[in-house]
Amino acid sequence: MRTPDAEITPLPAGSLVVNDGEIQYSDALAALRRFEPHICYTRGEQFYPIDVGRYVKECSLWVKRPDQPAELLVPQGEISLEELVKPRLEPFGSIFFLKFIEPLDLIELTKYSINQAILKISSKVDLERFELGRGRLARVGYGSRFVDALFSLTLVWRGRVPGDTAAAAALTYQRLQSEEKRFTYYGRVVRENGWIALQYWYFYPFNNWRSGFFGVNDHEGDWEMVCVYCCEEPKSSQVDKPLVERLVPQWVAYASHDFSGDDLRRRWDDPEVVKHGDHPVVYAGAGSHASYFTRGEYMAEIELPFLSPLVKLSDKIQNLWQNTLRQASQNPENVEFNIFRIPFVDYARGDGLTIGAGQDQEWQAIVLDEQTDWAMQYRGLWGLYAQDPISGENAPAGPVYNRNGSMRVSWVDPLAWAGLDKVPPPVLALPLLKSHQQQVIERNRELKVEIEQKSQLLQKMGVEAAALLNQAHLNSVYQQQEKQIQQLSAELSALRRELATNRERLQVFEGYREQLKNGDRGSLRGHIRRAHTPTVEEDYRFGVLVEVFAAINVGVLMVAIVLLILFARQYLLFGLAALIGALVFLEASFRRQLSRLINSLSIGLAIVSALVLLFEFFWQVVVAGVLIGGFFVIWENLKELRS
Amino acid sequence: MKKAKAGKKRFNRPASITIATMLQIAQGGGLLVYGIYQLLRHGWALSETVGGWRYIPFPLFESVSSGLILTALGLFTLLVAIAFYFLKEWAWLAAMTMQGLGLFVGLVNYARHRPNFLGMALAVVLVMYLNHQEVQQAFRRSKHADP
Repeated sequence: MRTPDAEITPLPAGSLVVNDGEIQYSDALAALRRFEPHICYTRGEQFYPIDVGRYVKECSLWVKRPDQPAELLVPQGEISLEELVKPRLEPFGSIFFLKFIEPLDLIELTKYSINQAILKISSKVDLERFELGRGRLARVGYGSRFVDALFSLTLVWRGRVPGDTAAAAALTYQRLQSEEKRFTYYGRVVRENGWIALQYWYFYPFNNWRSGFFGVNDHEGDWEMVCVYCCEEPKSSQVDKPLVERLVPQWVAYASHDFSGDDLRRRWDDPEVVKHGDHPVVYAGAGSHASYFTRGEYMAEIELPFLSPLVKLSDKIQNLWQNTLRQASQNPENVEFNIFRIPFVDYARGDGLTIGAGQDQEWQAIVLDEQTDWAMQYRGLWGLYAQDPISGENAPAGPVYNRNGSMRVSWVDPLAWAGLDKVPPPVLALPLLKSHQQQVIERNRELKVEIEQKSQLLQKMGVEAAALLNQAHLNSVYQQQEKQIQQLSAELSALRRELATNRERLQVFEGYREQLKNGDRGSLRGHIRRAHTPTVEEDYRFGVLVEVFAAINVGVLMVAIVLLILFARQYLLFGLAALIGALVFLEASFRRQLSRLINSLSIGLAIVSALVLLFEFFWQVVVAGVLIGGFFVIWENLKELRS
Repeated sequence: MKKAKAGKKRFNRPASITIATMLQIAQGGGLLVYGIYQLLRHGWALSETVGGWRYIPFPLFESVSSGLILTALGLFTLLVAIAFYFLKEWAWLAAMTMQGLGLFVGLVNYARHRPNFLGMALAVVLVMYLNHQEVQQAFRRSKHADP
């Protein structure tokens, strides 16, 4: 199934510019090829990585100047990668963006919908159809559902990608692929601090997570990245070996939603990293294209900026409830859950197309470096600028830049991006440790000499102070001497502490040195603070009834409120309470969570009652508190006397 | 005999269980005493009423029936307290339901200007105890320890 030109990649003469020296172009390509990831998509995925040249040809170029409507600079069909990078002067705050597609008109959209329906019925496409899993709303409580409804309403006033744009993008992408089927990645090789980072950049023409898979957003253009970190074999074994054969993979990091730093990377020998030979396997989220190590369905939470104070307040109350009052969590399975964050499901099932060497489709590799003009010179967005203040619907900038024109950390510092800047390659760890150990030993020698000298000085001063004591005429000299003694004593104390700590450090270093000598690299997952884990199927075994109920109840409630206001305003409060009570009770019964409901209700009532009691007996409570405090102190003191 | 000892060792009863039990006994005892008092006080009047059920004055009927309900609730609370002490799985839910109902009635009565502040305070403290991590862990342990 290898595409005819999969091996044909542009090979310019010379070497690549990398951070620490140069790597031959052919070496870079071979290294990239050796470890290129296999990406497993979810059934129903409509967009796969494409080469930017073909994409740009389908686009028009626009500029949005501050306080002005967007203006067309280059119309569709007239733009190329060369045209894209031409310097253009615009006022501060201007945003360049590509526009991939015009939304379909009504006739085209109807035609497309009918075609899709026919294809869905046919058995051929059934294999590619997305099967919706357990509804995200059925997995969370009422608070989150209300916030979700709020989020859906914000789409009305927020700038967004029109719904039919996804259909138009899908049609264009299908046409492009029917002309020439290619699946492209852009590979970059960076040598830094003894590491060789192989970056794999994937450009998708469209992200249809919202319209295709009930996710957070839709936007044109989507850049994703996977990075494999290798080190070179020691020099003794490098004789005549090309770079590609000298590389030993150590870590791999996948870009994924709001994860950053250490949490992004896994060690190559971590069982969580699925591999086909030397190729790490990536499970891509349906529509979102976020990368995961394990196949499954992931709960992704997003936070609306204007709700962040409530999120913080809710976190603080939860903390007080659980840690200070030692009360049990109402949500023991998911400790980081917050009702003001909106839950979405990212489906990374890996049951669709797989792209990679020897898989359903193979990659076309194109090498990317600091000489690649379209990456370095074009600072605009790679798709529609929807003017969404939350940015979820705005297209991203390229692999080098952020939306605001600053450079991406992943491009400037691939090691820091995955928290690897503090980790030396295994071959360098031992020499680094030895050198550091030597430094500490040196420092300890200096400390010992310094402590010896200062101890003697302190004793001399102590003797002098003893002599001066009670000599009234030398009072000021004595006071000064006392001050200096205190200062020197504190200094000496700090030096002794440093010496003791250094001795402990040296002991630990010795142990770690032995560990490194034995080839033990320490904890496999100790660096991970927060890991993405797929939801367990058993946790969400809800019936269809629960799913339907979860989907409709917030809407039903809103309609009922309107009906109550219109037809029975005098019973509004009672009706509302009864309605909410009935809905909550029904759902808790469906989910077999009545005990949790009773617990939550009782806690709610207890809080209200406590407030009532505080209101009625404020001063009595204060007096009782003081009395209890007083008795407690007396009791403690009496206990001390008795002992 | 040995088996019973091993079983006892497994359920190392935390102090908060004992305190919560004592509070429930106090609550149940209070309800029982008040219920019996109501029955005794108004029961005689009821027995002296002539002319059948139709002629029972409503306030009297209300007092007697509330006395009956309170007595039953008091007995049930005491039963739950004993089961709670022995970490029976159902007792925690029953106790929490009782407190929820008690607080609801307490708040309704407060709104109707017939407050029972002592009962409310007792229920608030009990809810805190029932939801305490130590208590929940003890019930979870006993649930898993059950054969």
